[in-house]
Amino acid sequence: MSDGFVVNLKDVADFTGRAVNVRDNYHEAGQLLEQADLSDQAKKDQLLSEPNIGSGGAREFHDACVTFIDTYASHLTTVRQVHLAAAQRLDYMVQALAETYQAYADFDARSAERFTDILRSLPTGQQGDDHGTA
Amino acid sequence: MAPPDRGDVPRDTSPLAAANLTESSVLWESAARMSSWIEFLLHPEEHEYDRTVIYPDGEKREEPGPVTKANPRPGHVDPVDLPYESVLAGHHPSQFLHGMAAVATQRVQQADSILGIGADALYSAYWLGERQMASLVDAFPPDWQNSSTTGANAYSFLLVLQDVAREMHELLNEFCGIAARYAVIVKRVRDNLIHAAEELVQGFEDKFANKGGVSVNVVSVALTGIAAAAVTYLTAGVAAPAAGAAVTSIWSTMFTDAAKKLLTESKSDQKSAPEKIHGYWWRDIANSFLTRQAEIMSEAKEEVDALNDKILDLYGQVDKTIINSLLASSYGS
Repeated sequence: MSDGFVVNLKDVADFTGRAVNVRDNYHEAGQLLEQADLSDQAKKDQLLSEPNIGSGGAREFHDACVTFIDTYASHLTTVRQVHLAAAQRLDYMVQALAETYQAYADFDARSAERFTDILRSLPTGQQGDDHGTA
Repeated sequence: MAPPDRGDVPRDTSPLAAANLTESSVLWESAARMSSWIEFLLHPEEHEYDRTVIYPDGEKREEPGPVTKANPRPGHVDPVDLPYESVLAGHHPSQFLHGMAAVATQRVQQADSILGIGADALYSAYWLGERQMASLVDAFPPDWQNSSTTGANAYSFLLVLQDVAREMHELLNEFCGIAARYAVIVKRVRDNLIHAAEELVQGFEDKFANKGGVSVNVVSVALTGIAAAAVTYLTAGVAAPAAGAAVTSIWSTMFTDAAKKLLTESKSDQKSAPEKIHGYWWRDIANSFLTRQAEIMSEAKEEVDALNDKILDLYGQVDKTIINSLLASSYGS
């Protein structure tokens, strides 16, 4: 640990709580992105006309729509993958924060216990008893 | 007014069916009325009205009914009809439905459109990166970050996520609206084709009544009306169970915003008014509609192409190093 090591356990706990909240929201949005995914051709077809159109402008419009929906679907998939990766990082971070918090808490408890033992072992360690310090 | 002795639906509805136009379609009414007139004009053998008469010298003239001549056969006094053909000979009903067929089946206006779910998802992802990730970084305990290696590492880890969120920010922000703009383009094509079909029918009616040339002013549906109409139409639909009211609300808001944006752009473009549907002859009036239909589809194609270019351009601006780095790393499942 670095010099001047300071950890306020309550701050870490509060931050972990916020991180959990953001992580959960990321997962909820991830589920929506999953629903919106257009990898399935049947879903793409909902956004396109039937291809049995003659020729000319209508056909060209249809082809433009196919290209657009393909591009949109492809980038939606990229967004979903990036979002999922971010959510997984948040999962990892939340887990690490929880473990770190626990480690700090255990360390603090052990340190406190040791000092308590030291205090108990001192004859004047307990204030206000019959032996007193005076 | 329907053609003489006919209804507002053609006798043969197969061209409508082939264009995927059903009675539940918003395009049905105008498509059916237009098709009924086209069918009437294409089949003069079924009535005594307008046709193109072929005279003995080979000249073809549009006439308001059959033209007879003396019976050339000896001993026969009953007159015979001159040969004739349709005033729209060479045309086919499907030609007039190509545009509508191209926008007949897209589910883009309904509240449960997959585009609406996508817009909601993208907006959520945008909002999380824009607001929540930034506030998480701000909330990081400064003492912990400055005094502990673990804290510093955790902070750096978090900053990577913020970098990714920033990098995706513009893409997501624009991406939400692009889906809505596609929906608005499809709706506008529908509205414009409905309007053009109605004006064509009016042109046919005027021509039939007056037997003269007509000039019908076919103006593209004013975009000012789209926004309100879009919202009304959207909220009238049934929300998908998975999507719910939130999606409906976001989708209609985006739809309205996209319509307003297109309105602003079209004003700045100062496009000239579309050519009127006009013509003295039946064929000219019909061809005028076909020209207008082609213009509507051509303009819409350009707009969809522009949306496609916009996505590619936006993604081109994203720093792939950051994105690929995130995607390459493995955390969690």
